[in-house]
Amino acid sequence: MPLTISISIILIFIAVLAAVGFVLGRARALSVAKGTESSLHSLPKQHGWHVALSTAVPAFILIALWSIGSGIASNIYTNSIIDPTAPELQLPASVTDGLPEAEIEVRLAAQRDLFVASIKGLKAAIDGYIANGNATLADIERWRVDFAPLEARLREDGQIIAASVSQKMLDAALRLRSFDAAVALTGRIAAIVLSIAGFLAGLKLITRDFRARISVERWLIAFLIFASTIAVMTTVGILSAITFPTLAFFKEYGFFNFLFGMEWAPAGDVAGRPEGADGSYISALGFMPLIWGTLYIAFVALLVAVPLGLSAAIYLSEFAPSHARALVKPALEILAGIPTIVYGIFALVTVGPFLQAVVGTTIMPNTVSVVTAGVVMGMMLVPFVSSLSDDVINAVPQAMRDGSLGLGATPAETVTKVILPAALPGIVGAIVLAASRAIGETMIVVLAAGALSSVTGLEANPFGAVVTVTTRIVAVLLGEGSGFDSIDVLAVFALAFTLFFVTLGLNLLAQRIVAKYREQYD
Amino acid sequence: METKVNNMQIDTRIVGDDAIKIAARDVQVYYGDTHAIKDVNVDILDKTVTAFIGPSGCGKSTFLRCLNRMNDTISIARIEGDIRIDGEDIYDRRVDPVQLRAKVGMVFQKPNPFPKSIYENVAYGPRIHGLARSKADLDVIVEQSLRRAALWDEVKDRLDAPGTGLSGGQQQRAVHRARGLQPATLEILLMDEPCSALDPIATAQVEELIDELRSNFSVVIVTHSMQQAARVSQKTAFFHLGHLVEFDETSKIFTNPEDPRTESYITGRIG
Repeated sequence: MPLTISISIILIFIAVLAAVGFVLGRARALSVAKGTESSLHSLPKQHGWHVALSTAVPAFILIALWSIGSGIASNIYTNSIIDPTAPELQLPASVTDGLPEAEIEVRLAAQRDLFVASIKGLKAAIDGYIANGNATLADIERWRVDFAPLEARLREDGQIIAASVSQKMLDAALRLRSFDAAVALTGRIAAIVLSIAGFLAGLKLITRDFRARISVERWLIAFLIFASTIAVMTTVGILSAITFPTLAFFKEYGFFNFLFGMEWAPAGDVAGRPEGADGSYISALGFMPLIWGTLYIAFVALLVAVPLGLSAAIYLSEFAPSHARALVKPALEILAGIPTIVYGIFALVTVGPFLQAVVGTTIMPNTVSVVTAGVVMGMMLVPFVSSLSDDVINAVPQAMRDGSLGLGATPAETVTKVILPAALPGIVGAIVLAASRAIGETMIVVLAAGALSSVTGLEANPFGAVVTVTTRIVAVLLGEGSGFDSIDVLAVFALAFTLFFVTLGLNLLAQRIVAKYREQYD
Repeated sequence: METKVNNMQIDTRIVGDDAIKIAARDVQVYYGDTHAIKDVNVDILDKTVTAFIGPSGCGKSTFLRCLNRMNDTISIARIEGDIRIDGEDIYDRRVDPVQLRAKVGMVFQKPNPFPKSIYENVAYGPRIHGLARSKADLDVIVEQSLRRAALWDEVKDRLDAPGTGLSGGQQQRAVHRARGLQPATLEILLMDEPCSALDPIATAQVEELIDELRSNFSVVIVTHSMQQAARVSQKTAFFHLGHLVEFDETSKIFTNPEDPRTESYITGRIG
């Protein structure tokens, strides 16, 4: 039974050692000071913090880096132990015949990646099997000789393993297991050693002149920088995660076919409609109907949100007595706090049927439509527009109001002729931000815009159902029949990618407008 | 200095008629819990320049803003007492503050041009008061007021450029002249530190303008410059800590004040 130390025990050990370090560090600083605390460069508390940080931080960093490094190491190890002559790594002659050399290389590499992934999957399955308490390691060792019963038992336990498992794969998986365990153990022991070393070094450093405060503050700044970097790195990570599948999709389907295609009909949603030469269905993945639906709904939403929101903002900032303000502002904030799914339900069960009753079923065959989703989304955006506009209107200098009123202008003249023109750039910025939210909004349109699985052309009737970019992403990813490697799913990445750039562009535009506006009065 | 003050005395006599334009009685102003103006009584004469002087925070601007109800825009301000213009209580329920401000105009410390073209800035007052029946009328009014502000030659080629593009002095001249002179209804002009942001040359131009305005209007000016008060005004009111300490002929205030606090202020001991 090889030695294993659970990671949570390590973390607890380091945390406790750090806490002890704090207490000891402070006590040691006090004893070094010999009763005259003012003779120390830093406060005893800061010496304590320094010991605690030098105990915990390097050890935690080591653990984090080790976990990244051990993943890479186990990949390299797996690649090194697999037998290049294994049958799983060969391509049959019927496939390689007539293929160019480069293509064979690519296919072999893919074959190899698949094999490595299967081994790792098998290893994870064995880990899970043991973790479920079904077997000890000794049992597993016994099955090394004959893997067939193990394979059956793993499947029975609900572990996910590759379709075909061979003796070689099992061997490799078991070797990988012991390698990973050894790497993890080394890392954990190193972390303990490092924390103890940090603890002792921290205590030893304490003298009257030691600048613990400066050191502690540097750690603090480093942490703050780290925290803000995370946000930036997340954006970069998301972008790169969607960029590569998107490029793969463009390569396969054609960039212009996607961007200007007028039909959206993914295979997963229209199974059983063979169309291709070999009898299989070919997905039609045109972007146009989706962006049309999206922009149409966003347009209706802005048509509702901008007049209402702007009027509310003008009333609140220019005319409302304080008690009305005290009532209306929180009400708008409540509106802003309603989850969008609730708006969606409202649209589906209340607004849709109401609209249908008003305009009749000939024009509006379904309760879901552009107007249903647009009106409700507009209501959702009212507080958004009003609070941003309220801010910019309040930023118009009071002197400008006084100047206008002092000339004998009425409050209404002052608003329309002076305040709105002055606040216009900021208001435009608010509208652009609202548009960007409307385009990215999902829950309302999923429920209220229509759930057509395939659509051709652009729907002009505002009371007709449409599809939007976001609803199609949801439908394809949650829909049945599409594997994660199908072109439909790749198309979803392209949709997400395009949506990302549309809203990013709008946000940048809004920021520029608002920044320009700020310059004017600062 | 002495001759100047003498001139002022002569001016006062020429203006002569002692018609009371604004009469304030027992005026109190509260900003929330702060008692900003206490028991102010003052009579402001027609066709006269009256200066309000006093240290910062003494209440002179606050009181000025009471005279055309600009304090209405501040929700926490509360005004008590009686202010009559031409015998009419301006805080009466039936008085329309917009109409009042057409009669009692106000210009401010900062010229604050509106976010419009130079032309539209000058035309703003005439437009809202419906003084021009046609575009041609308006063109004439704009040209006239810019000419009288000695700005026409400087800006005639860029009337469509933004008003914010004018220099501070140009803005101030344009604003004072154009806004101050336009409305036919205007009778009283309140000026809140009109020269505090100007260089000496622009200040001289504005002072000349104030002197000219006196022939048609009653002018009340708040200023931090005692020299300016002495130069342009016939009557001076000294405010201190919310009280109107002394109100008299400008020459008397600056040569022989009755209250020791006034004397301390004008000689630079307080303030």
